[in-house]
Amino acid sequence: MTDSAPILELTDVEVRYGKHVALHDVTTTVGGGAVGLLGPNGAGKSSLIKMLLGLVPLHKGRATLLGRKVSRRASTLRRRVGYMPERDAAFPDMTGFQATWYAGRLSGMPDADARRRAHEVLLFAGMEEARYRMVSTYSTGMRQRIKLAQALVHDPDLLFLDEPTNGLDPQGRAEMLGLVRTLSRDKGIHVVLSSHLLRDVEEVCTSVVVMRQGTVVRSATVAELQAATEDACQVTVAGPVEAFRAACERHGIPVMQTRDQHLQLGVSLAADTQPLFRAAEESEVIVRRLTPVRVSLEDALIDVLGGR
Amino acid sequence: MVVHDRSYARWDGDRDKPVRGVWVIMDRGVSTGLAAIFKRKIFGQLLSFWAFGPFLFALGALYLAFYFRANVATYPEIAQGIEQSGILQLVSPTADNVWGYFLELQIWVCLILCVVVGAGLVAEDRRTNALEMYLSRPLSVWQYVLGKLGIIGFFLTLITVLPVCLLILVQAFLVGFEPGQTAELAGLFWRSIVAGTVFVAFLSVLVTAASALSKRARNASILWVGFLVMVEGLLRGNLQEAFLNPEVHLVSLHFNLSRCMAWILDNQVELARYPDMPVAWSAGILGGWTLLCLAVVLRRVRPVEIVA
Repeated sequence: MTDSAPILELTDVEVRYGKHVALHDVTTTVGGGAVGLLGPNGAGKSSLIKMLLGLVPLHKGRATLLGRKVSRRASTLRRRVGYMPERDAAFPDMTGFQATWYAGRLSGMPDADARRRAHEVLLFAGMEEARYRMVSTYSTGMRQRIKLAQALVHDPDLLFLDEPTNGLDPQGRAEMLGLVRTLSRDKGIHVVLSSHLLRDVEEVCTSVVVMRQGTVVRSATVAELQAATEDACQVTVAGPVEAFRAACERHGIPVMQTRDQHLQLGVSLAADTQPLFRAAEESEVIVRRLTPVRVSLEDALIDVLGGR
Repeated sequence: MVVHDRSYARWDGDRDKPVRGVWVIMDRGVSTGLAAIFKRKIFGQLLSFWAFGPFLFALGALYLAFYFRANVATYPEIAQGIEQSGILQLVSPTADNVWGYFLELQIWVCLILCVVVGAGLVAEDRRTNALEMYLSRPLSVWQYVLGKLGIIGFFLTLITVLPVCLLILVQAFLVGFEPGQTAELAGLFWRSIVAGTVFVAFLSVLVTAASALSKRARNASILWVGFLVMVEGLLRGNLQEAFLNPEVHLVSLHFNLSRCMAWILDNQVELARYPDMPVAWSAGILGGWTLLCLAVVLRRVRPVEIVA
């Protein structure tokens, strides 16, 4: 998928909660950088992360993370991984600094290092003013930031972020995504971002893993995913639109949308555009503008998930 | 103006050092426990006085008794009074009195400590979803449980095993390490440690299980007190009245604990009270309770809650 060494390799993975199968037949390889984990609610994104962290057992198959086999006793592996859970989670009766320091200590850091790092990551997460306040008094945005600081304190090589922008206002969301982008692009930390907000993934990630009903349906770079569905163009014409529309259909060009003088046609500009110009000539219209349609990740995802 | 470097820096510490999770949890938990005790200053002071009062009284009485006995020529009347009052026999550590009257005095403080410190051990972590935070670190469920047991164990040891051991040491100093008595006291010292450990471990497991059964410290406290009232008061009392059989005492945890500790301490006075009742029965019952409580704790301490 990417040219870097894979951070995650899954082969025929199955995860169950009792009788309920949460993940099945999951086989994929994920390269480094920032990876988006996409899919509707209940697709198995969180279950996949929890399985990789060893929080839920692997029922069948094989999973390797950062080149090491995943198991429930993989404490060595967990020292190299940071996790920001989706749910509101905090160590009780602690200030922001104490909670971050404690997370570092639990990850095996010496006391002095954990203290220094706690201050550093809190500063990085923009919590310097609130670090001595009790976590229970924090707003939603602050709680998200403190969770990020706790996930980062031991300087992981790989960071799992489960819905990191949940409950954030637009400014908070932009700041959170900015932090994640910095970590991934400038600091060399691999990021796996699970989100149902496609714009978050689009802004941060270079590749995506699309999941549906407990299995991986597509694994590609964002560009690949968009290119795969980038087979439409927008045409602005001057002249009889209806005649042009009919001519396009005669030449086998699907007309997806029509609005005034603008038409969205199901033809890629990379392909042969001669039929389009022939249709224009026949219907005596002037093609004023011809642009490729930029497919959003949302469109691409709907395509992959079979929504249209 | 101070300029802060807000960028993220990598940590170059040793990642291969073993994680001392149990100690980290204990360390933090003891601080939190002390804060909970001294949250209300008066309450903390009263509890401390209650917890260490009997020990300090015994220590003072022991010293004064030995002092006046050694200076019988100077204080003949006082020395005679002390001999006649039998206070030396009362405060001198022996298998019968140290773990008899001393424990009877201390057990109420132990039960209060279990409420103040023990009830929230797991319950608060469950309420704040901290289990997910703990177990996504390089920490096993057992390390977490041992850490939590260690917290309440520390406080119980502080007010039971430690004072007893100190009293025995003081007694050994006061008698001047006479070979015969020193050997006897050394035996008592080690037996006291073992018996005290059994007492502390059992109580710790019991209160941790009560804590694990709830998501709020308050509810766990109610459960803990209710359980003790039911087993030690209602059940034991009613069964005794109904059956008039000494074996009914086996339902009492206090009775079984006393029997096992008497056996470890070789306290023949206590053992002779129920000669027909083997200590193995009591040990078996305590073992069963311990296994049941551990099973409850391990079932409740999960990073992911599975709702059927």
